[in-house]
Amino acid sequence: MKIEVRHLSRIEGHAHLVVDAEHGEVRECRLEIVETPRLFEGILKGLHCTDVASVVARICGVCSHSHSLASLAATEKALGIETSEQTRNLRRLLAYGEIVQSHLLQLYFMAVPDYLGAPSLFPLAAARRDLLLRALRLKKLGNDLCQVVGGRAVHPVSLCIGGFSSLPEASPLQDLRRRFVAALPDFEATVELFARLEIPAFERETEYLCLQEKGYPLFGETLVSTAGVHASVAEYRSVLSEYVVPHSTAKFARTKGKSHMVGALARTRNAFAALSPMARTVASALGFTPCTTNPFHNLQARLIEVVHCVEESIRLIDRILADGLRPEKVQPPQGGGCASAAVEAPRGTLFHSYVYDDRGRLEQADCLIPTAQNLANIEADLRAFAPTLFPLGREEFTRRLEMLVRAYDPCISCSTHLLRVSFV
Amino acid sequence: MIGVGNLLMGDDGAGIAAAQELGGRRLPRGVEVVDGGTGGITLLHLMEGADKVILIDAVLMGKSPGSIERFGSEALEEEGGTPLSLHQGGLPQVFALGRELGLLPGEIVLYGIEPDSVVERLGLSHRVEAALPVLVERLLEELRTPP
Repeated sequence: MKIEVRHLSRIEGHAHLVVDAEHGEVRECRLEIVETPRLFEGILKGLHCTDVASVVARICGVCSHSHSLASLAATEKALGIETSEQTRNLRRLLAYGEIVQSHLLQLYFMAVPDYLGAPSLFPLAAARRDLLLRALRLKKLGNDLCQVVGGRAVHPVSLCIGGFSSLPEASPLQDLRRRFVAALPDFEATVELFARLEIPAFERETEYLCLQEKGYPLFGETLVSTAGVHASVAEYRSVLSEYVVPHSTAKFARTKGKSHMVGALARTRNAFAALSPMARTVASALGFTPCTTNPFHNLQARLIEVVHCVEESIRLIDRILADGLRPEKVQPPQGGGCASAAVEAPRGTLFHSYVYDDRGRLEQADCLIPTAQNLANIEADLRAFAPTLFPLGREEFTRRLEMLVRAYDPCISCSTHLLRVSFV
Repeated sequence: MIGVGNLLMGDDGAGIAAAQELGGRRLPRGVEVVDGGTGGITLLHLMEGADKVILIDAVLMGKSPGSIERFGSEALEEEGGTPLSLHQGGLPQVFALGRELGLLPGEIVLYGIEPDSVVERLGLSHRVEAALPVLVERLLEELRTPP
């Protein structure tokens, strides 16, 4: 039996899924990344440090804020620029907004149709209008938080090296806080919906990797994993190595020769105790335990993180407003340097690494994207999952494998900017 | 007015370039210019509450680079008949979902500009760059037309 799903639907970007199995054995299992390779690092070369963050914000429409935040952190570290507590709080708030909107987009628009037996989003939009309108209402909260703090719902404009070029006003922040609280019944309904979904049974041990910080990981200087990685972000190249496979225009990345997972499930596994009280209550309602090795539990982990980000946003807005927002003098960037930084983007650990010359022009850039790190793990999961599905027949076999890929929320658009490939 | 596209992909950034140009112009009251980037479904939020939405994007129409076409609501509403706009996330899918959920504004117009090259590059090709003032003029004229 050979299945070939051309242009797998409900993922960000273009990929084919190819599985070749005979006599109950999987001979071949590939996630072919066919998106045109994009050489964004080449575009960055020669740019002045003050232009880099706004350009990288255009790499992706779903995680543009994470790219900006990772970029600014790398540039600030390279140029020796410190940020204030106010800046750090506002950037954290922006990251929460992005996780909320990105996770809700994946959960409701990409994943839910599979679990409610709809072939695509459109029959669902007709049959369950209430559900999708709720999804859009909730997603808009995340987008609006990004709009208020970042100056735009996508591709932020108010961030700059050392801080913010424009600060949010207090009243839209108060309004958002009120809307987050008012949306709690919608979040409860979401938890009820996801608690009822039948998650496929499949377990496979792998390595879970994310950043570590005092609370739940978002920013941080240390990389940790369930296989014992404990390294500085500056050394990420010694922990993670990229390699090329013939069927992909994106590079794959691995730790010490093995595949690993980044993203919501990796974070909830590694830092469950640091989740907000409401997020832990939701975990319990979903039957989620932090020792799970089922990649489909990425869905539950995403919803747990959404609730965590909402609760933490409310708390953080209170703190920001109590401290009062003050315009700050931003230190103008000078000279050059090199540094690496990482943030936890919705899909996992995102690294940006820059070398600037003495005039602050970018000489070399390296971006390691979460999806590039997950690709090898997705294939390893597919190889282990496929043999368990043979009795189900071709259609269900294919559907379940597609669901597995979607559980990772791969962003092919982001991950294919690493490599030039000649097609023969 | 929502410019759509990717500034890092050459002429795919034409819609954004037009929106940036319009942002610096004097516009009639009640007109808002938005950089929609590659927002995908987020475009539904950006269109919310508007009486009329004018989208600007690079569109593959098989014409010479820099050609400008106006597509009215009826063309965009046609199932499968929508011209292939270039940005990730797909305008046709966003329209289809918005239509199904009843979230589309009363009137939607798409101004498409034929790209010359969509490759990773900052800035537009000469031919699209040269057509940009024409596009901006057409858009200003659209604003002067009563709905």
